[in-house]
Amino acid sequence: MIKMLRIDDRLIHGQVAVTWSKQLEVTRIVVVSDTISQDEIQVSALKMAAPAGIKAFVLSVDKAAKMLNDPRADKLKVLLVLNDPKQVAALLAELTTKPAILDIANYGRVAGLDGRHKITDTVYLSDEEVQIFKELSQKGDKFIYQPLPGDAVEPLDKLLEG
Amino acid sequence: MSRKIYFISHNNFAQGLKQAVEMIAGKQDNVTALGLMPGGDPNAIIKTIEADITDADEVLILGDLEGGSVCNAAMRLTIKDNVTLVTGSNLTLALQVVLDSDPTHLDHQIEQARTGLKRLKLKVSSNQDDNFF
Repeated sequence: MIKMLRIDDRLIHGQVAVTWSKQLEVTRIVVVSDTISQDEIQVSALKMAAPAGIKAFVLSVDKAAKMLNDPRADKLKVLLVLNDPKQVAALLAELTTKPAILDIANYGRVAGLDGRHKITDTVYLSDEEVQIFKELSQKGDKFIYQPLPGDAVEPLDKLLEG
Repeated sequence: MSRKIYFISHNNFAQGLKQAVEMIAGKQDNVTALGLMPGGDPNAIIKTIEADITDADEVLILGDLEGGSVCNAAMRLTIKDNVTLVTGSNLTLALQVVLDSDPTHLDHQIEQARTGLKRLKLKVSSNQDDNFF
């Protein structure tokens, strides 16, 4: 099962590798990206960033959906990490079973703040991205904002109203 | 019985270590950072810890440097059965002890922290996914 889908510019880093992976007791961390999965250097570095005992994979959206929709994935505990809302929407459209938690944690600072609105201290969205999350929410894919397990859960819908 | 953790160091290393831990693992209310500043008295740090703990607490002190004045001063606290001092602290160890507070895991955590000290060089490999299941 997919324990969480996390949106994070920094992909596999301390908060993901050390904190969430322990909290959720995951056995797989899967970075889903059509661009990064084609970059051998980035793939190799991400695989080395996985903590001991957890296997990391870097898959394209289509490949990830195919693997995650396989019945054998039911017994795995998976943490998905993505850094692009468009690809998040594409992946969610293809998944037969939705992730237990949809979390946006760190986003928008790497791509550049120009034209982005500050949603929280660590989330900056463009108009187009706000629209993507509103459409996802209407389809029932409700995101929360919770960078760390000890942080309060804030519904993204509510943050976007403000 | 509550667990109290103290990071002790030369200068602001202890405070910096606590801030780094909290950036990754969130706020830690049971961690206190105490750094010895130039001209400061290492025994004052130890007195601060002594005043803060009781025999009912399970106390873990992470010190920066074996043989350094702060760790030397902290040594005398270790005659108490409920106080453990570990030196050579780093972020790996500090994270482990806040995320898993079981004191029987401490030796394993020290080993894990030791293995984190190594040369790291990127090994480029092709993107395989055949061992996913």
